[in-house]
Amino acid sequence: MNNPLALIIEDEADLADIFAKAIQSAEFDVQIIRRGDAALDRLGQIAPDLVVLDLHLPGVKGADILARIRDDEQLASTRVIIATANPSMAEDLHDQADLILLKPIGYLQLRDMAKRLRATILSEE
Amino acid sequence: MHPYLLPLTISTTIATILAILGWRRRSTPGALPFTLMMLAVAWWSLAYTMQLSSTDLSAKIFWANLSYLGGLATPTVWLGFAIQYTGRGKWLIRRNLTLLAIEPIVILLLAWTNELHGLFRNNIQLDASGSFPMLSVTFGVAFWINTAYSYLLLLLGTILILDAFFHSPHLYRGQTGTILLGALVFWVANAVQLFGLNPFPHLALPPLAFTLTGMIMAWGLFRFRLLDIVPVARNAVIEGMSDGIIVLDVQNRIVDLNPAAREIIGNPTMRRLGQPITQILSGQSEGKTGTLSSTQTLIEFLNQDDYNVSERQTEIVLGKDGIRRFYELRITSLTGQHEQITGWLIVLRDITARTQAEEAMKLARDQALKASRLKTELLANVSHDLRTPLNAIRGFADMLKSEGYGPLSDKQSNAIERIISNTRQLSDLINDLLDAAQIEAGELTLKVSPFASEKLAKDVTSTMELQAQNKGLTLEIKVADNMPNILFGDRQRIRQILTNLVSNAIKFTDQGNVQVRLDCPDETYWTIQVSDTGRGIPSDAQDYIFDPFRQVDGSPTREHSGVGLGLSLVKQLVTLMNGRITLESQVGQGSTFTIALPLIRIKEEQS
Repeated sequence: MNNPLALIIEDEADLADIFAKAIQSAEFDVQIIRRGDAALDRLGQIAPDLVVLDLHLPGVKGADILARIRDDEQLASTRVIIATANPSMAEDLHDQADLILLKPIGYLQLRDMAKRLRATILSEE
Repeated sequence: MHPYLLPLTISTTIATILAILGWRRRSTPGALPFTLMMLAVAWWSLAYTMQLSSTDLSAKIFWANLSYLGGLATPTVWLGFAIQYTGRGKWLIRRNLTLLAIEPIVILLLAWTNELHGLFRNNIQLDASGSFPMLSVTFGVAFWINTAYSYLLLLLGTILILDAFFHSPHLYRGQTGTILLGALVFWVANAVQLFGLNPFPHLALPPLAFTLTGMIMAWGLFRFRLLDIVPVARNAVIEGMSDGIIVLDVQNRIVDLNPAAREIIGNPTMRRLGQPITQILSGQSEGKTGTLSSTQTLIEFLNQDDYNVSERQTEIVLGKDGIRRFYELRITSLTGQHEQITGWLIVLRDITARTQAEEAMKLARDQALKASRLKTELLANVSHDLRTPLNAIRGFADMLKSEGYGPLSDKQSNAIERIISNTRQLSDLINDLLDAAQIEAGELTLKVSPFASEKLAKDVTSTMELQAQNKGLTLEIKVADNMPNILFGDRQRIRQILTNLVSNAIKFTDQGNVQVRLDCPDETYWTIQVSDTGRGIPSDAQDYIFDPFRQVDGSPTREHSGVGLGLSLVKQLVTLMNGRITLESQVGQGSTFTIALPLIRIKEEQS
């Protein structure tokens, strides 16, 4: 069985690494995108099972990427975890995200969340 | 007894009294010449009385000659009075006084030496035809010259007073008019005498007439004496005041202006009477934009045909020597007796200092606001930039801790634990700083939405549970029965408030418990209470505990970390929510923080 695919959209390299490690240890395949516009391109090519989305991005803003995912039928089953340091921005996107994690995001916390999501993803398939 | 003696004696007495009265009030303008005039009249009347009561010719001639002393002095002194009363006192220098005295003295000498030349009297004899002997006199050329001269002096004095009457302000016409009335009396008496209409044969009316004149004048002078100082004071005030005053006629021509107005107009020496005001202001500083618009303003102001408004006010800018000065311009309409506009009174007050101070204050305020905004922006940016590496530190520490990079010894594990706990503190601090800056700048807005109050409280306590357990404290929640399940409010901020209070309570309590209580005492508000069994807060510290950057123990060696922003932030957030925070605490007995927030309930069916 293939591992599910996770796309990490985060401009901070260190944070992207930490997210990648946490999600990899939950047995996902991971791709990292550092810019909002590049993320939109990639989403046209692949249909990840999980997106970890930073809201504060260069290029296209995180909120727009989230809207795009929600509008795209191809991405209907994609889970979105929003990672943000801004509680009020998170509050605004409350209904659209599957999960909102406030930065600083604990490695263990993200790993455990990813594990749980993996279980639901696999059970749905 | 001679029938004329009684009126003449009364006249003498009255004139004497008036002279004394005048002397007592000699500080009043005109009172001193008035006194002299009354002395002359008194003497005139007295000598005339003596002449009448004498029976033989030589005695009569003796008294007649003495009476001329009063008769000759009276017109001269009258002129002196008029000169001083109308404010021309500076004319009364010794040379002019001497010139005035020449003619009467010459005539007096001629009268006294008449027997040598007969120039004053051609013929004098005793008329014994009546019941009393009277003098019958045919006068000579010197007498008639003096008569003409006397009328001239009386006329000059009267003209001066008449002029003052027409040029004095309404208020002062009463006095001047009364004096004119007095003058009228002697003119009538003299006319009666001159045209032979005197009903009393051989009685000289002038001394009696002048006494009556004196009475009327005294009434005018001393009754209105309160006003004496006023014209002088009014003049001094208007001439000396720093506000410019310009009087315009209906054609907007300058009728009068004070020195300050001349200064403002820009030509201190030239009197610009008769010129249109608009011309003067526009010619005053060509090419200076401020003035152009000011002249425009003034023209518009004057052309407003709104006669219902008796006073209008605006601000104008006048440029003088390249310096702009700001004036408050007040225009009051001057109305005539029939309420018609007869002119305008313009008052120009220099408000440059005030305007500049206002501008400086506005500038300072703008700068302060800008600085404050910059500070907030800086804090926001710095916070973001501080957070990013902090998040990475935290993440890597977490990874190490979960042994993602290999197994850890106890010491390593302990060190990583400390890194993580310090990172958490730093992160909280940055958040607090950012919030504080936003609140201070008024940029923190509340997001109100429905939320479950009990769940929120439980969320908060569950994250604090571990901290409490580590210190051996019990952490419990009590929710009153009447507490609505769903409330409206900023869930995020209420959570922040509660987190702050509970974390403080745990921090400062060494044994016992920390309790969170939710209650809804009435329909208007609900409360969150956080109590502990900790060390308590001394009463003096209770005053400043909500101030930013203050902790009860501010010493560098204090046991507890933090910069003391927590409670001040809590208070500011509560205030922002229109709520109130209170504190009850006693040292050694623990503390209770109570937060009361307005109750915004949603409909029952939704709860």
